[in-house]
Amino acid sequence: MIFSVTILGSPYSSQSVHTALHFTTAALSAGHTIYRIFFYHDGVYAGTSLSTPPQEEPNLPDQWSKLAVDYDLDIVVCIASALKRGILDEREAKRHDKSAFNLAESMELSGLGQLVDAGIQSDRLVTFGP
Amino acid sequence: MPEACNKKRFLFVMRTAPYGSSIAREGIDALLTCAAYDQSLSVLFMNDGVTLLLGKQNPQHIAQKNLQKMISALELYDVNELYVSQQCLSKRGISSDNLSVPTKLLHNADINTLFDNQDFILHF
Repeated sequence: MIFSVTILGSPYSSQSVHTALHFTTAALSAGHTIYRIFFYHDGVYAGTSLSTPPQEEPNLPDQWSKLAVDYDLDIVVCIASALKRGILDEREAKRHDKSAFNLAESMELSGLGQLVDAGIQSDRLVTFGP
Repeated sequence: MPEACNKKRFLFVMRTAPYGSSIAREGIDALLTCAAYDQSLSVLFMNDGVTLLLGKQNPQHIAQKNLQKMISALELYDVNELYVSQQCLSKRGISSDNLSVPTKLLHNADINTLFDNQDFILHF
């Protein structure tokens, strides 16, 4: 089965980011295909490369990045939601004359059309959060 | 406009009141984007989301975008399948006569049927 996953909760403030990670990992282990992961609303905070939790707690953004690399996942962070919340890639930081950028390398900023496309191309679109 | 390779049935369930959280606004943005993809699109207003349908909203006083105006624009995007939960309106003392856009009233059993007839259900 082809799944896409959309996550609306923010890491640490909401359990949804962790649950979605478990779901996605389980789906991949069971041999299903993940077409796209789409972070929207406060979920865009999972796109930061600067998350620094205490050592005994999981680094959720980094765990998503590792999953993306290990399984060659297409992880999209909604650009409009991200920019408002201060999650930028290098291109957007330059465009808006910001001093820094922080989007995880394994993720890309793109529009809501990617969410709709994920629905069109998948058998199931599963939402977690907020 | 992108060409749909297979038409899917999307239901957007708007459950959150406007302005206190951005999620209602982001739900409407997502549904407007979906409207551009020529899919089968329905919207159900329930729980506190029924308050999105109230008229005379003046969010400019709190520097927010007017979500009622965005909802009124849905028909321009050919989004005409708008449903509202009768029970959720009654619980909040809102008459269906006071809604700012035409909607079809649904009882709970009808909502179950609506859910059963979708390919994707997105909650905001």
